[in-house]
Amino acid sequence: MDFIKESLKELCSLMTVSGFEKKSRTRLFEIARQYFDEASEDSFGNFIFVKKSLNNNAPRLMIDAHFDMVGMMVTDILEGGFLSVTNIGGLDARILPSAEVTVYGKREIYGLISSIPPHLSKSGKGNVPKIEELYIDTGYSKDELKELVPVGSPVVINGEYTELQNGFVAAASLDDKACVCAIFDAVRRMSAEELKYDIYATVSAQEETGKCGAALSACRIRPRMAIITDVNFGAIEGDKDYDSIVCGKGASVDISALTDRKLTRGVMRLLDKEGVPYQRICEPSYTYTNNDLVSVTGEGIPTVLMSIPLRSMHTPVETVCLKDIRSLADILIRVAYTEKTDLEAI
Amino acid sequence: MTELLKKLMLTSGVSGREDKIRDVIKAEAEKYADEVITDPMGNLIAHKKGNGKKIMFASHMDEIGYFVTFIDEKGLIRVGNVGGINTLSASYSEVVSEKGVYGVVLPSDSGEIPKTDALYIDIGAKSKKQAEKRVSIGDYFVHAPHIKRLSGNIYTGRPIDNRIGCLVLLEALKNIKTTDNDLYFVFTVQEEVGLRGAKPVAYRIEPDIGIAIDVTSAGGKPTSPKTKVKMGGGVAIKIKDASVICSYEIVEKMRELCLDSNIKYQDEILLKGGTDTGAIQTAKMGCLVGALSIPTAYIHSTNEMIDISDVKEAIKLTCVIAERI
Repeated sequence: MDFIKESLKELCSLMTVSGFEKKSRTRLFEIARQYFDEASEDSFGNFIFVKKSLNNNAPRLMIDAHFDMVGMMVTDILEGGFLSVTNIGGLDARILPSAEVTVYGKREIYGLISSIPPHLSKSGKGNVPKIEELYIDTGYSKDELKELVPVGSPVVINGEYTELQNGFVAAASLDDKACVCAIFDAVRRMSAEELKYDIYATVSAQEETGKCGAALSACRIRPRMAIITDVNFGAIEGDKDYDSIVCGKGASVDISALTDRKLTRGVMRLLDKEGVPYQRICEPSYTYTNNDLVSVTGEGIPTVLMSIPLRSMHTPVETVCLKDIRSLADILIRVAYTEKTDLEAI
Repeated sequence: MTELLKKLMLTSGVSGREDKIRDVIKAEAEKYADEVITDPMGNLIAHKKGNGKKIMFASHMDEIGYFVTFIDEKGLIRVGNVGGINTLSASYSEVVSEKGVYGVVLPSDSGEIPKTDALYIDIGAKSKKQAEKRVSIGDYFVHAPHIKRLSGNIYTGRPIDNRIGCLVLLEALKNIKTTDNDLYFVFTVQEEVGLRGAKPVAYRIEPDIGIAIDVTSAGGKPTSPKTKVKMGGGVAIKIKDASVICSYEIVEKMRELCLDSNIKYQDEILLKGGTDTGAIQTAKMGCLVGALSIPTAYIHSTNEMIDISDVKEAIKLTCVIAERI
């Protein structure tokens, strides 16, 4: 678990607002280089890391997690030294007023989202203000900000990595760095001799803003099959109606019309046979993950979707259980040691 | 320039029916390009060959309009929309079909701002039978094209979106000085119905860099959306719109080129609406993208409005990108 804790903390400290993933390329390469044989990137901000099997002519297995995170972008610098912003990805507007942020201008600038007190609010008490009505306060003057912050600079809502009890952790961007971490943990422990595939780990850009990144990598890699990993809604108090997976009970294998039926069933039966615990969740149609575009890339790619349960999605206190990250890594290793035809035959 | 602009503006080409406008552009492009081809979808590709970076410029040549869905007993024409119709502006305006039949767009009788599917076209027919002689199901209608100079640099008309982008590309194609770069000037189809044309072209060309040229919403009018972009403020360098987060390397490079070449520019973040930029960025294995925009008021209305001085800056920027990026 120490590896998972340390690398997760490090991954969550990286600024990867959608469209700006490349800004964290140096550190990501340093981390990944320890476990992979090859590393590359493309114009879009996708990273591809390869671990080779010792078996000659092994087919390619793509394992994907997205690197990007929701955030904001500076749209204007206003009188009085305020910054107006727009959202990048589906930000939960309810958590914005009085949030602490970091503006990535020419250098990092600490800021606060100013909050109009209820006495003065035009939208009235109890209404969630829209993002266009909120402004970042940095204490700088307009002229100083004009020097420091080009329009278009990304903004992150601060959510430092924090350990809770019973192996739970909270941080901004655990969606989907928990899965990036699981892939790294899996690959680190994979033996090249036993690998039935060359592993192409894709750490993809812009899942939160259109899900195109992984599909571009899939087009480049042309894998025999792909496993997409992302977070999914972990059961949370107050949302009893939602038929969801539970934090702490392991990663899930997702069932969807847009994943490969045979492979998904094969993975489940393999895990059943070997007594590996996992959860199941149904996403009948769209899964709203990179799976939806990867599965229809090129002539079509058979995919399996796996999830880590996560609570408080798209907030700075996204919460996961470390056990579930380890569980996903264990499942990935088992699949990587099993040939595709064997999976389909189980 | 205004003669060419007039020609571009007054030739119609609703998404999926770009034949006539393509012919106009093709005749002009053939004067300056090494090779001009039309792809199966109808995109026009003008190639100026070189051995350097492969750059694809894209400007869509289609425009919004209507197609006929059925004709009722009274001879009124029911239509579906092609692209995002501004129904407030469309009501009671003049339209013309691809066969040259004129008509007036009628809103339904609710008195509210009509929904697109509630619009009729009245061609003056007294019965279904009479109407069917001049209009068939599937016919395209378009808001009557026009262009006028208001005062000074201000022009109004339609479809400024995006014949003005086509003008920028054609002028750039004409004015580019020698460069090593391998340049593709693409006039795309079906942008207004979901950025459909640009993607297969980018897939075919596999550019190193894609640059879209289109209009963007200008602020400063009572009905304008909240934006910093102003008519007369120079060419707009796109940072983001609903379809794309532009490659920040290209945004920075474009700003640098403007500063170096004394080109007046402004930053653009468009919150609603997409452009070919997004489609190009994510075609095949992807490429770096940027976009330059012409600040335009009243987009998708029957009277769009621009400041021609911004267009001149856009042409200059397109040229320096082609020569020096």
